[in-house]
Amino acid sequence: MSKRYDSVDDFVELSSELTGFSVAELEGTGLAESHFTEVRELVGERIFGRLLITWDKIRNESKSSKARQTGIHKEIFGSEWGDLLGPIALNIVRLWYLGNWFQMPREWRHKYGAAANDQTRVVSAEAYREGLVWDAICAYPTAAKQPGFGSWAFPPEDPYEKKAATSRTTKTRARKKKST
Amino acid sequence: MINYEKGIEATPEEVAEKVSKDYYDVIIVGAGFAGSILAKELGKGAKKVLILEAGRSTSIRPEGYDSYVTRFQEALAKTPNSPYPENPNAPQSSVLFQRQIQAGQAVDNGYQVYLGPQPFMSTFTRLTAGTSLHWLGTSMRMVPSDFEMSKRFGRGVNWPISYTDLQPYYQDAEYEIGVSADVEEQLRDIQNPEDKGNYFEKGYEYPMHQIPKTHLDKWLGKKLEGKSFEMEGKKYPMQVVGTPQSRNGMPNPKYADSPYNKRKKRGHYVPRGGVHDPRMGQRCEGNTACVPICPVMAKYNGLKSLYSADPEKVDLLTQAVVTNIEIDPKTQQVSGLDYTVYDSETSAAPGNYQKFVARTRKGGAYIVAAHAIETAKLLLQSGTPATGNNEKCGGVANSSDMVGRNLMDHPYLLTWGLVPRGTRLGVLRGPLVSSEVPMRDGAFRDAHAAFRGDVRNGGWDFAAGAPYSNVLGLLAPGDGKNPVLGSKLRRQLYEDVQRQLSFGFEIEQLPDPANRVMIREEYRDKLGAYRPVIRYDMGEYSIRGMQAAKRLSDSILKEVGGVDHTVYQESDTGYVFHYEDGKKVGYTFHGSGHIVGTHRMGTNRGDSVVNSDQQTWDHENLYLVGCGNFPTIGTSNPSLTAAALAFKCADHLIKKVL
Amino acid sequence: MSKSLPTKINSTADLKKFLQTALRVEQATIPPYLCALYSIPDGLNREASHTIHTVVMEEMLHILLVANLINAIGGKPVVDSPHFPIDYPSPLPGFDHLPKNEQPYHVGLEKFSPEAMETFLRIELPTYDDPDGSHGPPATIGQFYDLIRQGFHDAYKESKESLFKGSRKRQVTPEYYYGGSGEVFEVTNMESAMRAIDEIVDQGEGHDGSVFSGQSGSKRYSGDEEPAHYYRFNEIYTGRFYQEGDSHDQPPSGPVFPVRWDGVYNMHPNPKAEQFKKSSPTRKLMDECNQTYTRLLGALDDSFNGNPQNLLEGVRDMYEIKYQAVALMKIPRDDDSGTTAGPAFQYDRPS
Repeated sequence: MSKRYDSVDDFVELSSELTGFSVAELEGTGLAESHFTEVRELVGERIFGRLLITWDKIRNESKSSKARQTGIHKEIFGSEWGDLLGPIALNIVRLWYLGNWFQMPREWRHKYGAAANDQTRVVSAEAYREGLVWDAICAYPTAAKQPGFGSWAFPPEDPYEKKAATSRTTKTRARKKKST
Repeated sequence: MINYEKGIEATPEEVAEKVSKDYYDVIIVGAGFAGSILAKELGKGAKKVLILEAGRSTSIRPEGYDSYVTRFQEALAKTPNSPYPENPNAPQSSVLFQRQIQAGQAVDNGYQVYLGPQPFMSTFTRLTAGTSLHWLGTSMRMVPSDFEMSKRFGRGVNWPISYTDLQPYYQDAEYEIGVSADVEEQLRDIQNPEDKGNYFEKGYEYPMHQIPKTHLDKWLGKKLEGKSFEMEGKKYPMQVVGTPQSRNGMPNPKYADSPYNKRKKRGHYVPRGGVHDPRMGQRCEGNTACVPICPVMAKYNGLKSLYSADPEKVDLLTQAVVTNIEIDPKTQQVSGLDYTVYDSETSAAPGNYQKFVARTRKGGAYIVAAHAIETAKLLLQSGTPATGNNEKCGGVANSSDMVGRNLMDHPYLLTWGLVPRGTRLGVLRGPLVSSEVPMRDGAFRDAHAAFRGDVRNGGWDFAAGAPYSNVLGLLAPGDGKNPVLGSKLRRQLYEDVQRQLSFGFEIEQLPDPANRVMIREEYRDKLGAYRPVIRYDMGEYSIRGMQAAKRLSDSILKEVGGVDHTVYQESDTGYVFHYEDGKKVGYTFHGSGHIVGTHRMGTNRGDSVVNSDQQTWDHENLYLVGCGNFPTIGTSNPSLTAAALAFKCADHLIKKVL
Repeated sequence: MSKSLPTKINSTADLKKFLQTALRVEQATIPPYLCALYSIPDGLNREASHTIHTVVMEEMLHILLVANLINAIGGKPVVDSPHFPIDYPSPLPGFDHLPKNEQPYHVGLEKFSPEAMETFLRIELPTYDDPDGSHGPPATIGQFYDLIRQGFHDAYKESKESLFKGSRKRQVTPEYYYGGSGEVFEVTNMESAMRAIDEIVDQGEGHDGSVFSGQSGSKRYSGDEEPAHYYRFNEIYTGRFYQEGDSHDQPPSGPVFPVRWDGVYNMHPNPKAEQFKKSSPTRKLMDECNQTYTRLLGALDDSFNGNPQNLLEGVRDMYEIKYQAVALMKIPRDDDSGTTAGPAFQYDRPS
């Protein structure tokens, strides 16, 4: 089977596992495409492809979210590819959470080559506004998505009682089914 | 309503034409907090007013204001001036250029030059509406003892006016800039019963109810109920008091019947929303971005006064940098203001800069309201600039040699800690500050600075860069090999951030003539104007205040079962130290943006720059208005008091002079 | 709840029923308007967004005024009920049966489009002339309120001041409403009741055949008065502002502004939670949005039944719905339609 490992879907699934946000939640930011393109351009297609192949392997070998997490720690951070893939995976999380791209570590840049726009920066105003960190902490990005007068007077939500159980996975499975 | 299409903005040609016809009664330098209010009030008093503003007018258009918001969102370093583009023709200060100062080595890579021993940590904005675009919005009155520091505590100096003199103007200011607060809560920290009794006019109410306290404020208030804190042998209650705020809340129906409002013959108070769309911002919406920009304009800024000024009476000329105040040698009166209008930031083409002189009609008045640092600088560089041999008493209005001196700020001391696991404080929601723990007044002030502890709704945002630092920390713990990922990351962030408690203490500072704004030949900006050169030292009185503030923070954390995580390091930019029981103890301060004192008011021309009418002792038709007039700083954020002084000056000019 | 309303109000009980339907009508217009509004990405169609937003804010005002009308005469507004919101697409409550020569129309949840604007225009259609309005069922919201107005007069004739026997504590007072033109006020007598009805009708369809609502006191950028809802939607539909002197039967002649129908989120019309698999993450977000909506209805119900201060809670939910709705509109549906999910505005109170 000659599947190309460069689809936005693969990227979003991996992102979902890395960030703890469901595929739907990530799509709901409207940034799946642009984050995909951003990362691919910054690290280069071949390295990016390597990351997604690795993800595909983890996905195929893991039955549960727990197994996928273990797989990520082992295959992306702990394997012989760790120093190549680990920093990218971390940057993907930073990108989704903060809307910032962080310059790749020095050693990485030396060893694998640096793109011209591999600079620490806010990727876009939208990426900032849609940063996942605010949702994770049940707050709102400064100067955007304001919650309305007096909303702060109420106790913060505690979504994790409910949310923890259902974060992501199901859509991933649905898609897997379709593609096999 | 006035708007940018009909406009109070004028062209250089229109202004030159009117000047040639002796049209203006008053010329104001600076369209900031004080200048906007002065212009509006003088216009109401049927005076013809010209404002010369050095900065751009971007914000008077809706897309312009929105572009600031986007610029902030796109900024990597979200500093107070990050929404506002650099402008080499009217440069402004930035926290990004603050450094520790090695003995004898000036730090001069930004606009301001820092001579030390400490860097001056506060910044301001040079734009239409000025620093009111990025102020926090905190608007408490000063307390009566602040006006009598020398008399009551043997510290600093007295004001030439008392609290009672300023009280009516506080009411005007609270109406104009729209303050939400609770009268009873504002009395809680005033110690002297007589002061308390006279603090508000009988029956006074704020225009709007107090902004709802955050969940955090309420939580802390409950925990501290009945607890006290000892200073200099006397106990003071630890109490969480709502902060008066110039941001829109629920109008207080009782305001209509307050004696003040009745005298003014005004009906119910209606919150003033955004200037470009009045329906926007009629209530604070919780952007948690008061500094550096409120996206919905629920917080007051000078545009609101400018937009409600009479367009027939008020002209605003932007991109007009005043470089010199001309004094007629015979009469010692101001005869005109030299200013340069720039067209583009980058062009070197001839015609980019045009020079003009602005004059009032005979008998008119000139007001410099350009912010404490720029006003002092303009005075120092006018006439025979106060550099070299002329440093002493050079410039304009400086016979006392007090121009630029007694520079003060509220050194801002952050403390931070974690409350017990499982607590959800609800941080990073609501206005940045909605409550405080005040220690503003009391006998201890003969020994050390008074202070107020902001209960920071932003958690460790200022203290440690939360929530960014939390994300980065969990992703790269220790060796970076074992990041916290996935749903664990998501949940851990929530748990960690929800426990972040942080205070920001505004510490009082005493006037010290050695703390000052100067000019030096070698430091000039693109227009050839001088750059402010600042010498600044903290002083033991304030450091002892920091010591007490830190002790208060520790006591609070103890009461709530929290753990202190505050760290002050010698390498911090604002690090200062003193000795406590023979042991060296250091604190790190930041700026509050409360820049005051550089052209102080007084009863005596020998040690002050202006009299109680805010008129310079040296030049009859020259007035200075703004925070620079404060003889002492107290613990209040100075904007409301500056606004009250603007009302007082307008009143004086209309009734007595023009 | 009965599908067709009587054509005349015969008693105070009838009046209360009519007003409850009015509450449903006012509320039912908001989700369609919001779908159009939220489907416009940030920065696109600035003028159109602004316009729809102002209309929504005024519909909120109408809800508050109707609640005050109900409370004024001792009724009990019901909002927190599975029967309160309508099941889109559907006729507006009370408009199931239109007069014979009127085209029936359904109101649905759709993205910003010319078709959506046509529906909005129909909703806000002014009553120009009404030769036999008293006979058939109402065809416009204005006629509907005419019946209510008459109902008040009739009931007042019979009961006099005792008609207004409701507790004042249940009234929503001015400080609770902001962000739109007009103001909420207590309804305590015939004068204020008539003023409330006038404000609602004028904002919707204009005052006495004029394009402008003539009531609000609010000003537009240029200092003009705001056109009524019908005309504001027509401005979007035609891409042109009205100006002073424009007549209601002529297209607007003021400044042109850009309207882009493409580039908006491609929301599938009338989304429902059940269209998504129960365990899917999108379904979870659909459910959450519906639950926020339901929580909002609860807060409103509470506010109208003795606790006006609870409107603050409702405010929080209104903002929350926006962010949830916009996120849904960016999530592709799991089919090949190229459309996205969207807010369903269904009553969903988890047990």
